[in-house]
Amino acid sequence: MSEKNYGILLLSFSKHSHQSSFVPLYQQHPRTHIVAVTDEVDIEPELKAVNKKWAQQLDVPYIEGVDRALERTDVDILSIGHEIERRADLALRGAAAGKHLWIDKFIGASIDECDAVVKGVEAAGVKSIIPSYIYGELVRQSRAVLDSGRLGGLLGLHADIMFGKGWPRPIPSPPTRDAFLPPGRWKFPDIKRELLTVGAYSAGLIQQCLGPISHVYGQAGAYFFPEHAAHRADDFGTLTMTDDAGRIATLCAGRIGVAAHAAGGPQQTYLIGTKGNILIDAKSPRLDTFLRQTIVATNYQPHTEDYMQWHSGPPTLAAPLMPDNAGLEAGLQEFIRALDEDRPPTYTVREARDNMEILIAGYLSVVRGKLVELPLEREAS
Amino acid sequence: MANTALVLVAVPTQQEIVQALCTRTEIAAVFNPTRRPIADLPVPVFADWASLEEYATPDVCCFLTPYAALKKDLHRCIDKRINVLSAGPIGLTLNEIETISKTARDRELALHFGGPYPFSPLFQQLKEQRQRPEFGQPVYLRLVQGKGSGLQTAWWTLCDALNQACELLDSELQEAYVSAVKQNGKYHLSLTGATANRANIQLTIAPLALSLYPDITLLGSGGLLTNRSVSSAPLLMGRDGLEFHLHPTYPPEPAWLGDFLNKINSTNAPDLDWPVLNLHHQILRGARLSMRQKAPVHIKLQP
Repeated sequence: MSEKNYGILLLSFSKHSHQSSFVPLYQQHPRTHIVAVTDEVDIEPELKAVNKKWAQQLDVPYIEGVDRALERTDVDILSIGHEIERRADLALRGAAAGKHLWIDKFIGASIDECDAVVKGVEAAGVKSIIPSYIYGELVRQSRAVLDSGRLGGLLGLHADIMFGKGWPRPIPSPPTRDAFLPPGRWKFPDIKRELLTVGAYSAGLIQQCLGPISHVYGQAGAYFFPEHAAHRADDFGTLTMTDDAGRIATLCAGRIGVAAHAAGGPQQTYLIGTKGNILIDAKSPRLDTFLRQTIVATNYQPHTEDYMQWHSGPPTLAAPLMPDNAGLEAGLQEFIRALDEDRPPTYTVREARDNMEILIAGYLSVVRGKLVELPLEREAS
Repeated sequence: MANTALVLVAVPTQQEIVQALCTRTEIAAVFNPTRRPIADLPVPVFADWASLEEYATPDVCCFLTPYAALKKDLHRCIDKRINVLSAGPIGLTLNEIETISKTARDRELALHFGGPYPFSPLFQQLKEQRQRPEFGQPVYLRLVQGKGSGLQTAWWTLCDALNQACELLDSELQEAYVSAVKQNGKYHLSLTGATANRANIQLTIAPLALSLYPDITLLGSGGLLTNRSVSSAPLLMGRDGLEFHLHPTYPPEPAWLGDFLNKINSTNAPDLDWPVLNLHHQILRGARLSMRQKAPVHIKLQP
């Protein structure tokens, strides 16, 4: 019997999503094919134009109206790349239509939304995967060394992930901690909140290495971009947490501007064990590349239409040697295997919900200026 | 004090540092508070004070490590009119420190708590780079280091790391949480803080004795300063595996000790920094509480 080939419906190419990074994966995987692009009817004309352009490029239909697209019987997987505020509703509708879900990072904008998605997806009996956090080099290498037993018992994990993107400028009067924007509003047309956006990767790593997180302390503010300062939002932040056994995790996350790192920004973690420590660099192994003309002629100025470099990277002085550094390809393979075997993937909407709870707790801690306990009280979300 | 008789208190994992000190300074003897021997030292090593004092009459004692009887031995030094330089804080209450420092003052003895980091080439280079206008405003400092598995050693290392951090960020600590965990006798400590100039600090102390430099990442609004001790150390690849070596002129202890001796000789002994001593005391208490509560513990800072 031939193996099933899965039809994929691309739901939105919103500028804050990684849908465009998923396209080559779907095209290259022998068991997936893109059947259409869709989006809601009430989206901005700019987004509609981008969606249509992608549909044209991929030579598939663009379907206005998600519910209409979900009626198609050749759609097995819904690839959700919409704005964070719309994701929960779209995920629930996709699940109710019996479609499996590939969701770009966040499954909802609040814990209530995330809870609803977990409930809806599990009730519908469809499979879900959030591919961005645990299938990449950082988690792969960390898990391998932990599983080897060489570190002994894990005591702590300390991750630094920073994106060397965007063009920092002086901030004349940075907002005080007291004025920090509470959690809930995650993006504006010109910025995303970076403790959430970048910190989610380290939170995923922490989930895979430690037990359930019980306490979170957060610090955040704007240091690099006047745009973040104007919104009283974070372009950089740190979290400190302990799990139910008292083991320690810390992370820093942020967008720190171009040309601050040879490989486009640190992505590393220290694992501290009773028998040893290890520093894992997600951007290693890599080849250092010092090509004179490339260096002296480099134009670091971000594109005017992608000022924060959400869809582009800065020039770097290093080339990664591992082809699937971010782990998206591994994520897709895992998803297909899970569908074949009728089992949930390792990182589903349930784990993504817990990831979001850690981050929201961090934001609440910044606002309150004190430690926050998990699980969060309902009104806090 | 032209012919100062100097005694070091050190443990076997500090053999390289003691050797570096012996090369640069005249050391009379070493006191080893453990039962494990320290190999290959050019000076006699003693396991009890009575034997050591039969061999030499020290007038300066340099504590390079914490240990169970440190408090008792500190009192012994002051009683015997020995100047004291300690690389870390002593587990005394502020009242106890006040009493002992008064005794030291009355006897014209120098008593100083604080590690050698200001003399480390890494620290000096970071400070120099950080002061360049291109660095911009300091945003974040991560320091990772390990000097041993016990709580007192981890505490010393953490206090030293915090002093470094505040000096590199050039600001006062305004907010701090300490976290600690213990498993199989190994302690892991972490301190998260914020300074008055809005920079964030994350200090990570591993339960492993590494004589290499700390790993420090110092992020400014204008860029990133970062080192990895392992990549900076000479690496020996042999049949038995890899060995990292300390650069022969790296250890800052000889310059630190030399500076202390100069200050004693010029009767310019360093004063005790009471707010810092109090902070260190709070950190130790916080670490113990954190282990019991399995949660980060807020450190109340003096206004």
